[in-house]
Amino acid sequence: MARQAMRTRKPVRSADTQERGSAGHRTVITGASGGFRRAAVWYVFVLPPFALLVLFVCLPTAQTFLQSLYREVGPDQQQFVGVDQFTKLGTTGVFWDALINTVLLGIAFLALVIPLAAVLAAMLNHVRRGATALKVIYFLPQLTSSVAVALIFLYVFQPDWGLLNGFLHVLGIEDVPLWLAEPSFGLTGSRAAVTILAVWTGLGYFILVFLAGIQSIPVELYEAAAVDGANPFQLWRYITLPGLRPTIIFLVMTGAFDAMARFSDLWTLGGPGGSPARTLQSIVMLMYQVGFVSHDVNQAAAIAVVFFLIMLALTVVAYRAFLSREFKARS
Amino acid sequence: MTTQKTNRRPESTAATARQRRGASRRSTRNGPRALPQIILVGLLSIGGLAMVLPFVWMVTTSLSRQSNSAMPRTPTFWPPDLSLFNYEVASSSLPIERFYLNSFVVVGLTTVGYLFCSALTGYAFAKGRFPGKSFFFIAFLSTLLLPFETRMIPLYDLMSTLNWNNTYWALIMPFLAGGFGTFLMRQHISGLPDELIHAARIEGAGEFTIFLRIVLPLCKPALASLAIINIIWRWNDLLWPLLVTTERDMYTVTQGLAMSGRSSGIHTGVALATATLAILPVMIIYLVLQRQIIRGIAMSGMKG
Amino acid sequence: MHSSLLRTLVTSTLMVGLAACGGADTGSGGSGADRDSAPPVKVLMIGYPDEDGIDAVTGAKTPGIQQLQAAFDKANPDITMEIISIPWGEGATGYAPKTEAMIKANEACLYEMPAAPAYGKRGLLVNLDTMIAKDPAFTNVWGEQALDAARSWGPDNAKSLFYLPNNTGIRVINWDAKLFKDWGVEPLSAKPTLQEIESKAARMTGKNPVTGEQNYGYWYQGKYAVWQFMAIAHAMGADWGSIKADGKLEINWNTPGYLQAMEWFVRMSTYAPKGALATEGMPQGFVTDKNTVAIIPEGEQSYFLPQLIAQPDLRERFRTSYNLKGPDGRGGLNSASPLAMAASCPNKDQAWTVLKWLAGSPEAQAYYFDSIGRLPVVEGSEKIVTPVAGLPDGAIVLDQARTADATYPWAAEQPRFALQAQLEAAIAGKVTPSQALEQAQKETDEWLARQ
Repeated sequence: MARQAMRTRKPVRSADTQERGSAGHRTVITGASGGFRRAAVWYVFVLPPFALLVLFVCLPTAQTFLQSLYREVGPDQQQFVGVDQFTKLGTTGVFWDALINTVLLGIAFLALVIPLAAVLAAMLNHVRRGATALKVIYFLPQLTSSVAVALIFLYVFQPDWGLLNGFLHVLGIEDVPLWLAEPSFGLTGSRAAVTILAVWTGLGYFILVFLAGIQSIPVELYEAAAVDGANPFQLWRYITLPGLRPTIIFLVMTGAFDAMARFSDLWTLGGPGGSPARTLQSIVMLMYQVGFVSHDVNQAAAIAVVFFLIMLALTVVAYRAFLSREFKARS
Repeated sequence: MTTQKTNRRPESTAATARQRRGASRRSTRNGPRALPQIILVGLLSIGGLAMVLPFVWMVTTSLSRQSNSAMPRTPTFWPPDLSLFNYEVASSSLPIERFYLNSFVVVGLTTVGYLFCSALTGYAFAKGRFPGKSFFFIAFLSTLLLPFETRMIPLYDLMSTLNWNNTYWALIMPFLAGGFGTFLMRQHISGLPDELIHAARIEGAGEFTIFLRIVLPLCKPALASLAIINIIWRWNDLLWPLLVTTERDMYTVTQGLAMSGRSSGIHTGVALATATLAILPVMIIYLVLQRQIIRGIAMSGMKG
Repeated sequence: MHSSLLRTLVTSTLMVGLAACGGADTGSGGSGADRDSAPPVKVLMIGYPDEDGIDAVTGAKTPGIQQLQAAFDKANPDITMEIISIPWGEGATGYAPKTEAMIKANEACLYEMPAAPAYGKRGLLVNLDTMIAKDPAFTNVWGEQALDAARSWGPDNAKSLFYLPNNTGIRVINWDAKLFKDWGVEPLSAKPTLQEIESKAARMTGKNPVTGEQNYGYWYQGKYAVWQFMAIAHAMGADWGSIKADGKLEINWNTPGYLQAMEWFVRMSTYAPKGALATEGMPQGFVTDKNTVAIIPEGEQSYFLPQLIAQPDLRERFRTSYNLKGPDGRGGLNSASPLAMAASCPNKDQAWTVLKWLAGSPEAQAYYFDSIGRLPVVEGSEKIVTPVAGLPDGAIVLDQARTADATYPWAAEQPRFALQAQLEAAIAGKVTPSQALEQAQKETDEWLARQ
């Protein structure tokens, strides 16, 4: 029954698209009759911000790209080396460690935060009184700067006197985790600690987006299903979950971008080398360490370029999974 | 995505929301066994407590002078030696009010400029027709892919060349235009009915007039959420201020926190007092404007 | 419509033009103009308080950096100096990216620069021997040995003096005499050996026979454990390598000496609190009556000096010994802070006067101690910091500065981070000491190959 409800939804959506498409068509006609001067106006709107982007974003980035093809051979002396910096990178273990680390931390974060936020959002959606207060509270950490949050958690995770282990002591746990003092993939180690930190910080945002997703599912679907006697679990399984598909894709994609670029909290907790034992080193941290601590700007530029390519690949995936439909409908 | 859905029928959002709330209530009532409210709220409150406790602990620890040299082995939420000593230390070493002034100026001007640029380009990409439109749009979008760290050194060199270090220029100018704002505003403005703009054009209004008189007022909700996002971004930025401002009087709040937080890291109490001074005003603003902020975030689907 | 179009066009043209002009400016005539108007000598200094403040533990007043500025202006009315003061910080907040960006942009003349040898190697610093040669009034208050320890490889001269030591932190062995007494253990000797530390630390780990508290015999600063490891290895006679004639480094971690040192360290880490690996400082409660840690090799005396001076009753309890010494009589991290001059500095003669004053004058040395507890590296320092000289172990504290190990030219470079990361893994039991050294060597070799 619920499946049928899903099917009835599709025609509605395509009708919507058609309507928008024809509206766009009308603009085409008007615009064409306006002549060239009408078109020139748009350049005035677009070009000044575009100049800012070129000056402050594109040119400096291009400079980085150039640097990745060179090698410093002396003060202010650069030698063109082609893709040497990249082949060297490929054979550097530290680079692969950082890359794998970044990906693993991202996956762990998303695998935890998405189900948790989905369940909490569904619960929150049913709360009649106090939902706003709860939203405010869950979103609190997100609003605090990552510098401040990491600073607080440096102390929260202290194995000997920190808040978290103190709490575990109260619960009667004698053999408390070492958190940031244990470089491991385990549930009590440094990677687990920063994943807890990330979930704690990001949960509120994920809940908010899920809530918006849940509330955008047409009420009629629930009503129809309820009439047919679906229980709350079935409603969730056959209406809410499929309805949240775009929300989940959106969160996974944006979450993946954030995870790849993760930097300031890990750095605050793990120092330049992502200690302990480089378990907290992300790819951006490595870029930073190579460029500013080891002063190899060209090698750092190569990492920056690889990083850029990874983000580009992610975007292509995101575009395919989610954005393509929207672009088609709009242009 | 959420933006699009909300914007399709802006005038009916409130009504739909009301309807939905009614519906969810109905469906829970109709279900075989609805979850009792008390259990729901109870479970959610436990989670909420986990969100709040670290902050409470931060404040109480910051009120204990002893925590600078010897933290209690068992965490306490009531300091044994309640005093404002750590705040004296923190405020004597940092001109925190000056940091706030800098943050307000920088975040304020950046946000106004960013909103204006975003709306302007967003309008052009949503309703304009001109050769090269897709090229420019793709160009704007692609800048979303260029992480800040990638261009940091060349950008710093540029600031030095322009002699902008230790000025507000360096903290503001690089952040006026951005792909994200343009994209968001384009999405929003695309949802506005073409008839409005068409009618104005027939009456002979120029595009800039249409933009100011018709488009901007209709963009208020989107602008508000973009403003919130940008404020969070800029307020929390650390890397860039640290590079371009060397004079303490130009520090932002976040920068000041990072500076003192790490250098007093061994003095837990002072570090947490400084963190409290940097966080508390933001929290108060958040609590006052919580409704708008949360709506803004949910609408744009973007955080800071 | 038209006017706004014009205005926007003009603005954007100006923007681009401005950038282009600015670019051309520094390219051609920048330095010429500088010489005429004698700009202020800009100095980057790291980690000093920006304002007069209060010590977080003792509550004593600490002078802000402007007091150093005032003292300079008083002593040198003819020279304008401008201090750019930044915190140590870390990562995004760190001094390293700041230094890199500033030196690339010719932002300052003098730099307090922990990685001075590396910058010198890149040809970005002045060989100060050339300044000394031109300066008949130069007096060496640092001692020939200290300056010699500071020399490192440069493109023009294999033994270039790229910095003068500004001031120094003191790495000693801190120990708690009360815990020794509680456990009935003989006090630590002034120059303890590894064997002595090992046997005493082992005896003092467990339930304190007097207080019943859990005690720990040993401590290490997790995130800076590499320095303690270097001190241990040096005491065992291990040698990290050398700088070859062409300026290239040769570094060998994977040797029997380092293996022995790491095995010893890993064994000793079991006498320390488990959380030590995550810390970046001294144990909580040291120099208070709540202390539970007995011995801290490679301890940072600067943390404790203000407390020991402010609270005379603690002086007999919290004692200081020399850091671990090698067969050459030296040992312990050389944490002298280098003050260097950028090769791009337009007014080197004035900058040289400023450099000499900041690194050598009694006023500056007194300021460094009063503000952040760092000690003078000049000879006769006991006359400058009399409160330290008056401590029971004051002579040891001041002498340690003169007997520290030579500086490590790789101290802020990849070899350090490779070794630190592997050391952490070994202490955590994730890898064996020999695996750790092998991997550290591999990463170091990769870095060396890029040099």
